[in-house]
This record gives sequence, structure tokens and C-alpha cells, in this order.
Amino acid sequence: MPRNKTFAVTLDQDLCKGSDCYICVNACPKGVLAEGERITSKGLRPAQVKDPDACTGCRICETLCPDLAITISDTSQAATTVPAVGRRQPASPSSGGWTTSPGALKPGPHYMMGDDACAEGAIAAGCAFYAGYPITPASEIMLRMATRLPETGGVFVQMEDEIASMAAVIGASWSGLKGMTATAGPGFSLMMENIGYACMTETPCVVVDIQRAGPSTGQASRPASGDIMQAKWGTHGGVEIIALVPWSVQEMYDLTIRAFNLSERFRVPVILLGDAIVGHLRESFHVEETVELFDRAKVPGAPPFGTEEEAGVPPMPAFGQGERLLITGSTHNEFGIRKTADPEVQQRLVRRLSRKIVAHLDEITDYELYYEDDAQRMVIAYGSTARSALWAVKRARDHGEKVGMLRLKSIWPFPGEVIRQWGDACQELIVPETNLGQVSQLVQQHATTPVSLVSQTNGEIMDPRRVTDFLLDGRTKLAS
Amino acid sequence: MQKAEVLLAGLGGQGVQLASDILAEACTLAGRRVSVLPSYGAEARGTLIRAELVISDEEIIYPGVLEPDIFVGFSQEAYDYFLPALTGDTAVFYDSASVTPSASEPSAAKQYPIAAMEVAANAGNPKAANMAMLGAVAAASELVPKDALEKVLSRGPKERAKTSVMAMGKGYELAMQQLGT
Repeated sequence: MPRNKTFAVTLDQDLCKGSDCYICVNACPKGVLAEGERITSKGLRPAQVKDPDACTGCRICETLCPDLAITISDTSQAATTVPAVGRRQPASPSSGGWTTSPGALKPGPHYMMGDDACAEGAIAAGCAFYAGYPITPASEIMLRMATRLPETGGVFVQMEDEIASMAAVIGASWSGLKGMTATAGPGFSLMMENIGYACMTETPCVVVDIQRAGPSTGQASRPASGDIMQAKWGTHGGVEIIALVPWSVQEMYDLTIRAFNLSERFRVPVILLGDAIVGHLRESFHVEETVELFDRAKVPGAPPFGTEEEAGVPPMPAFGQGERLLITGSTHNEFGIRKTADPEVQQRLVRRLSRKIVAHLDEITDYELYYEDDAQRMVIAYGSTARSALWAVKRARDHGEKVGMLRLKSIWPFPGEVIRQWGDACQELIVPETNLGQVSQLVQQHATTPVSLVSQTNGEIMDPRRVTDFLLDGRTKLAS
Repeated sequence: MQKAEVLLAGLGGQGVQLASDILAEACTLAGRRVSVLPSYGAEARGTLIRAELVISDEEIIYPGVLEPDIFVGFSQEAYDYFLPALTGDTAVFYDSASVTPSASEPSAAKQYPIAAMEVAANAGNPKAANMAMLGAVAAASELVPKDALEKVLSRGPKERAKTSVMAMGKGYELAMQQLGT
């Protein structure tokens, strides 16, 4: 068959690690690439382009090359070269830190669904990679990302499941991109192993969990907050994690941006714990003129896990910069070299992974207070339930009850000190939850005052009258 | 403070969620605050579904409907399910083609049949029954401006926009006649 296309094969011998790899040599079905003959000053023997005319443009080598050393371009039609959109881009070195960005949406009021606002927040935060598997009530995030990422020069992939989705996001992050995935309870369970891997390898990424009523597949389209504990304790070994809890469409947007900033700042997976209410709720929200963004430091040649500080966050070199990186979920030293039987390395690493978050609680903890000045009792609420709770607090105050409210916007690391202070200042803490009592247990741990749970597990938004009844009843009573 | 709680309910596939979105967009256009809380089963078609709208001049704290000012029943199932929970103050609109009204309920005082499907079929698109119902909602609440609804409906493809606006207008008329204003 006559060939009507020709391809140029470029191989950057400075990037190729040669005989350690030769994936391209083995993968090329036409023998275009071959083992090298020249030995470089680094002691490597990079592959060489032996028979470029035989190239059919299948791009298998280009796709597989872990060092982005190979570029295939269509020389027969100059205009049809693969655009930069959707192609891997080598990350450039940067010292990281805060910058001001113009954002992605038109400034001003917008009306949309919480899931859509979450996706827009991600785009505004500079998310350039999304891998996911659709699941109610988080699918709309994926749908919007599938449209928006190609428009903004990012990459969208639908994976075979949530395990692979999480893995792909970690990989993208190590190529220097900001990556995200979104799911609901059953998929969140599947992601747990790789979330632990992201914690251990200090990989910044954002995981959105739009909670639905479980256990198991439960009620696909109904809300609950059953994954609070799972967000922190679902992965094994014990990790510090950051989790944020939005209560509105506005916060689905704002806190998604914040989740990216925190993940870049501390090199951790950050979990956005929405639920089917804030995910599917439609309301208007406001988009600011600019967005403040934090970017990780990318230092070529720096040890990717190296910091002498007890609570330090090391810079993060990326693949695609000629880096030869070792990344492992096993215990490792500053260069990523496995040290699986060294008690000192293990202790130092585990302590730092925790300290880098716990020592920066001030930067992470976020909450709002309502009617706290004269409060004798405080409602502690979070997520969509906080909207029912605030409604109830207002009604109770109309009846003369001196009740205030503390709304958590970040739930992990748990702001125990804040809870302790309000516990000391009040006679009772009341925690309404759409589960059988998860945050109420945490509140109990940190407060010496009596703590009451107002629980609802019927797969509906917390009935505000249930909370009002409790507040007006004034007695400690567990709702059914 | 002006505030209206609207509960739309029917079967999956009848356009309840779409109607709620259009209603919300129209109210947003008119400068009101709106929240829409959708609720549906995992099945794509045929289950009892609802959309709860809160329309207000002020910030909306609780986004659900507690005491609906307006209830729209698109199907018998939805009507039977929600009617007992309504108070006598709720204006109830139902599609006379699919709902047989109950007279025994104490909450049945303010009930208005709207021949939504018939109106929509006459307008040229039987699927626009939900739009006829929106017209009725606009007639019942001054928080829902009819002209903003028209503006939102006019954005679609020309032919569909025409039938939608027509069905909505007719629904508005039918409701106005019964509301006696």
C-alpha cells in the first residue's frame, strides 16, 4: 500500500536513559528505534533512531517513553501536527509559591449546579488533568471536566475504574500538572489504596467525594455524610490528610480552589467532602476577578523527598524535565531510595508526613461562627447539614434560646482546639449529622461539656425542624 | 422579605427537573435569589421525583421546601404522595389529563386543574406540558416574572422555543382565569 504520510522521529538523547529502559526499542513494531552505540558522559547508552523512514506514526514509542524523549511529527502535513492540547508538556522549573491568576469564568454572578461549580473551581485553580469513572452524584463534575479541559489545554481521561483513576492522577501530578478526580462512596472506597500511596509519595492532588447514602451502593442519588471517618482512616497505616466540607454551590467553587492550593502547598492529596445536596443543588454564586493560587516548587535535580525540617515540604521535581525519579510507596530516603528496614528513616518520614500538616493547622483550619456572642449552647455543623442547622438556630433564637453555631469548613485535620474552647465556653454542644455520629464522636473527644448528637439517616437532607425541635426541647435526646 | 417555596413533583421523564431549572433561571434573571434542590431515584425514568425551589429576596439558608406556597403535581403518584402533607394555604396545580383530584383532603381547598398536556399538544409539542405548568406557577406568584420565563424559553431552537412559549402562555392564562385576578 502506498504511504501518503511521512513522519519525523526525534529522540532527545539527553533525556533518554538508554539501556536501563529501551521500552521504545522493544515497543516499535517497525524497528525504527534501536539500541544505542554511543555512551554518554552520564554513562548511559541512549537509544537511536535507526530507520526513520519505516515510521508509520503510530506514536506507541512517544506514548510509552517515560522521559518524554521521543517526538513524532507528521511531516507530510505540517498543519496536522498534534497540537499542544492533550499532549504531555514538560514542566518548567519554578520556585513555586503564591500567584494571582485571572481565573476561568467571567467575573460576576453565575447560576449552576454544585458539581459544575466544583469543576469550574478546578479549572480556575489550574487543574490540567482529570481521570475518573462516572458515579452518581459526582458524574456531573466529570462531564464538565470532559468539556472544559480540552478547551483549556488540559487532559481528560475516562479510566476503567476508580483505582486506575486515582493512579492516573498521581502520575499526572508527577509530570508537573495539577490533577483531580471525583467520585462517590463506592468509588472512594476503591481509591483508598492509592490515596495512601499519594500521601506516602507526597503527591499533590485533589479527590472530590460527593457523599451519598451508604453503606455499599446504598441510595445512589441520596445524600448522607457517612464518609467523614473514611476520608481520614480509609487508607491503611495512619495518615494525616486534609479534607474540606462545602455547604453551598459557592463553596463547591471556592473550596475546590482552596483544595488545590493546600495540596500544592503541603504536597498531599486533599479531599473535598461534598454530598448529594451540595453536588446537585443549583443556586447562584459569585466569581471574583482574580484567583489566588499556590504552586509547588519544582526544582530540577533536587531530592524529591529531601528536607531537613521536621515539618518541611520538599520541592517536587517532575518527570519531563530530564529527571530520573524514584517514587515508591515503600519507606524511602530523600532520593526515593527504598529503606524498608531502617527504623530511623521510617520514623523520620512518618513523623514528617504528619508534622508538615499538624504543624500548620493555622493555615488549614477554616470555620465560621454564627450568633456566638451570647451563646450558652453551640451547634457544631458542617456541609449541607449546616444549612438546616443554621435555619434551626435562627428559629430557636426567635424563641429566646441562646444558641450559636460553629460551622466547620475544614474537617481534617480536626480542629480539636477550637472545639475545646467552645466546649469550655458553653454548656452543651449539639452536632446534627446525616450519619449515626461521626463528627459528634470527635467533638466528644475534645470537649468536656456534654455533647448531643442529632442524627438522621433516611437519605434526605437534614430536616431543619428536627434540629429546631431538639434545640427547643432543651433536653439531651437522640433523634431517631 | 418576599419568599416563595415551590414544589414540583412528577415521574422521571416528565420534565420536572428541566422545568425547575428554567424557573430558577428566570427568577435569577429577574434579580431574585433561587435555590433548586432536585431529588430523584437511581432509575432514569418512571420513579417519583421532585424539585424543591426556594425563591427569595434574601440569602437562602435552608434550600429545601418546608411549607410550599405552590405545589405542581405532574402525575397521580406525585399528587397522591404530596397532597396529604400540604396545608390549606398551598396553591395546588395539577394536570387534569393525568390526575384525578381528591376532594376529601382538608388541604384540597385551593386546587386548580391545568390542562397542561392538552395545551402543549395544541401548541404543537406534547412534551411542553411542563412549560404550561410553569405558566401556572408564574400566575400564582409575583416572585416569578412571566416575561423572564419567556426570555429563558426563547433561547432554545426556534420551533421548540415557539411551542414552549405558547404552552407557557396558555398555562398562565388558564391559571389566571381560575385564580380570579
